[in-house]
Amino acid sequence: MARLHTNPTFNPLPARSFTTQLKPACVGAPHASAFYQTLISHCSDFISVFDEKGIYTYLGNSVKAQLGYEVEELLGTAALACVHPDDLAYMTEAFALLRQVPNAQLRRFRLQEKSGEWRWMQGMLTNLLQDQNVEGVLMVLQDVTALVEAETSKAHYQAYFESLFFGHPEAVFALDGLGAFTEVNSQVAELTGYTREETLGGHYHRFVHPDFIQHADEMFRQALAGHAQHTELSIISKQGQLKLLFITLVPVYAEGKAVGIQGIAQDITLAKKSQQLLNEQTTQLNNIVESIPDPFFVVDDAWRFEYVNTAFASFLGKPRTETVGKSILALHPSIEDTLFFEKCQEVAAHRTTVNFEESYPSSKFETIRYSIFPIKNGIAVHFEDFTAQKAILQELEKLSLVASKTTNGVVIMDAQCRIEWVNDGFCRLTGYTRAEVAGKVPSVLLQGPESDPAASRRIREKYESQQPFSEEILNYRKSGEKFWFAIDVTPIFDAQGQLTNYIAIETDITEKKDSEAKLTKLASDLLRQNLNLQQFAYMVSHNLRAPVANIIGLTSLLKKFDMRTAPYDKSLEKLEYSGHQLDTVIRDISTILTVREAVGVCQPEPVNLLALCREVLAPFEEQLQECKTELKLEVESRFEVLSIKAYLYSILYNLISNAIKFRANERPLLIRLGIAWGMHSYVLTFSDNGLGMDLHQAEDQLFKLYTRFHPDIPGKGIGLYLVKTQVEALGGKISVSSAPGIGTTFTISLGEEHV
Amino acid sequence: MYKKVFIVDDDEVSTFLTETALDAEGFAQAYESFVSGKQALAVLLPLLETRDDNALPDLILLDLNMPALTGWDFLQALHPYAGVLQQQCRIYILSSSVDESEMERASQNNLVAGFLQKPLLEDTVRKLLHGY
Repeated sequence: MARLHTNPTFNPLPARSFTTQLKPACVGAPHASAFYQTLISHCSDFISVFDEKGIYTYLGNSVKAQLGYEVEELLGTAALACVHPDDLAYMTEAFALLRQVPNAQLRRFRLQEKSGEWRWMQGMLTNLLQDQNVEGVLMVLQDVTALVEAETSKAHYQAYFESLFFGHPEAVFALDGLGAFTEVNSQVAELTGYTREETLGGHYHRFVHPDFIQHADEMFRQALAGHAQHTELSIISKQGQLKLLFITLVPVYAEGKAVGIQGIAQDITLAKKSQQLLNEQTTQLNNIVESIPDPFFVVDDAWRFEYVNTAFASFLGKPRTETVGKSILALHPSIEDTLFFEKCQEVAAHRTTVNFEESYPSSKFETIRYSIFPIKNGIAVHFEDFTAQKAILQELEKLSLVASKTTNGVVIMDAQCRIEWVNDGFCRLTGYTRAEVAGKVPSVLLQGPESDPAASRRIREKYESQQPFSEEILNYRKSGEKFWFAIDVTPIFDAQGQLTNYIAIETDITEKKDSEAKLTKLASDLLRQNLNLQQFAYMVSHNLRAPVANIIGLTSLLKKFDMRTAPYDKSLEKLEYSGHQLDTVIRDISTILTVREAVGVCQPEPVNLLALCREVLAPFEEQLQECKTELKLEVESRFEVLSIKAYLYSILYNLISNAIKFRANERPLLIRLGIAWGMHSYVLTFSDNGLGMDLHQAEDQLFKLYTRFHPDIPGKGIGLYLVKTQVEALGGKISVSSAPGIGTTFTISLGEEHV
Repeated sequence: MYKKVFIVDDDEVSTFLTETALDAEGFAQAYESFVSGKQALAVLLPLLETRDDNALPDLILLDLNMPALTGWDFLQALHPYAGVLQQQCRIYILSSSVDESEMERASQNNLVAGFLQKPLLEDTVRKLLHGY
């Protein structure tokens, strides 16, 4: 412990305040020594004197009260001994200072009581070493412990306050009595975007949203009047953001009067938004459930109505208040036996949704369709009147039955003409299964090489026109068999007028088509017959009447001539000739009529073509040899055709006869007979290298009766007529090509029924 | 009396009868007969080409039903000379046909002066000659 040393150069100045305090007392005191003694002993200050070595030489009686020591205990001890170690350096220094100045103020320092407690002291040192009465340093100390303690406690409050203000996680601010910011914490800047400097001194109006200014002013006024406030208001940040704040305003009192306001602002924008969203969602959800036109309700685990919508309330005919909270079983005991309740229990037990229908004959809703689904702690039930739909469904079932069981084909296509469904009739008619045709386009699936391309195109165009239409078309079964369909197609449109489907009804009209074809053939046969009859009439008109006219002419002539004269004999000769001519024509007619009448009477028989040729050629053998004929019979020896042998004989006979008759004398005759097979027919070609004809003028005349092309060569003009008649009687066709000087070729096509 | 008459017919008996009937009435100075239209055209066409009007016949009797070239074909071949023929020569169809359609067809042809039916009898010949 350092000791305070007296300094030889110590030059204390008069301690003015002290002396001025003492002087009047000294001046006015009548008994000096006892007077001071009494004053000092009653002085509450701690008065002591220590010598230049720092040893107490005097202690006032108050030491007992101050520090608990008896005066005697401390006299002779070092004054610094009781000083707090932390204050010792200061005190040593202060003592040292007294060497230069007469007195020194002592700031607060601690002295130890006898009990060991520390007391805060402050006071004055006065250098009285030179004073003969004292010869020491006077130390007058006041106990300031209470003051120090009070001060310390205030500093704590301050610290608390500051940390509450500046360290608060929310924005904290202080406003003066006019509403200007006097202090803000850092959160305010974060909240408002304005720096502390920008904020301080400014009015709160600067931040508050215009809509809230009035409200803010009222709050401010109330707070200032001493009423703490909570409120929500919006501010606009420096960045222009709108923020919703929860604000607490607390009045600040000074000397019993509110001089300003402190506030805390909490950003509740997000919280408010979420809350708002939650509210909206709840409202919306409620609206949705309410807006369901069908009855809807929720029951809890104990079968109590938890929620019922308006539709359900009106279904029950009871206000909601009479239903909610009540047990469904208590209100409607009869449901216990229903399928509905059974399903409810099932849903409650298995926690799975069920949909089903239940019928209640002669009740408000005859058929009800339920949807029951599990929810937390209960089940939700939605149901609708299904009576009408049920009826529609039943009708649909009937329609579907008709569609599927009808003998006609029914096809439902999508808007792209792809098959969606076909009935059994379609499957039976086409031979395809339902699975095979699904997704296919009927036209593509069913039409084939012999389907009329024009009809096919028409069908395509009509589909595109989206108009109902009917068509007839040749189709192919899966087996490849051909058949005729009459199709009736109807496009189906939805409520918006959009094409959704085509429905086609398909009827097998093969029989009708066959009879049509037969009718057409019959008509064409009739036409041919008619033409033949015309030709026959012509023949009768000319060829039959020609000899008759001659006979008439000749007989009238004979009357004019005398018998046995040359003209008479000549006329008679001609008369005889004309008679024979008439006979020939009548025989021809008979032959022709025989051929015609025979059609349909004679039964076709297998005919070996090569053998027939040999048979026909036999009578011509001599003539053929004379003409040095070369025969080319390009027919297989075993080739047989199903035909009427007599006709084939006659045809070949006439053709060979003509070939010989109209041969070209300058070259040997060449006759060629060939046969070519078609799919369902065969073609005979008969050609020669004879005179030939200019068909330009003869083609349509060639096969006519009594038409002749070679006037110089005798003939009646009946051969080719007969050939044609017989070919036609066999159901075939004959055509000719010829060139003068080169030869003639006849082509005979015979139909499938004769193969 | 006509100067020259052509008979076109493949039926020789008919030609004999016609010629005899005409001659009996002193119908023409000369008769010329052809067994085919082709032969007749071979004579007629050069005369028409050269406009040798004196050599043309006054009258032609034409059969319809002939091989190769029918009476109708014959008329068709003469068609380009219709103008000359209508002035110089009368053509009559002489046919055994009693077919109405052929008579109708003949009446439509402006080269044809009339349709006569075989056999040609004296009444008809007189009408042709004297107009009664």
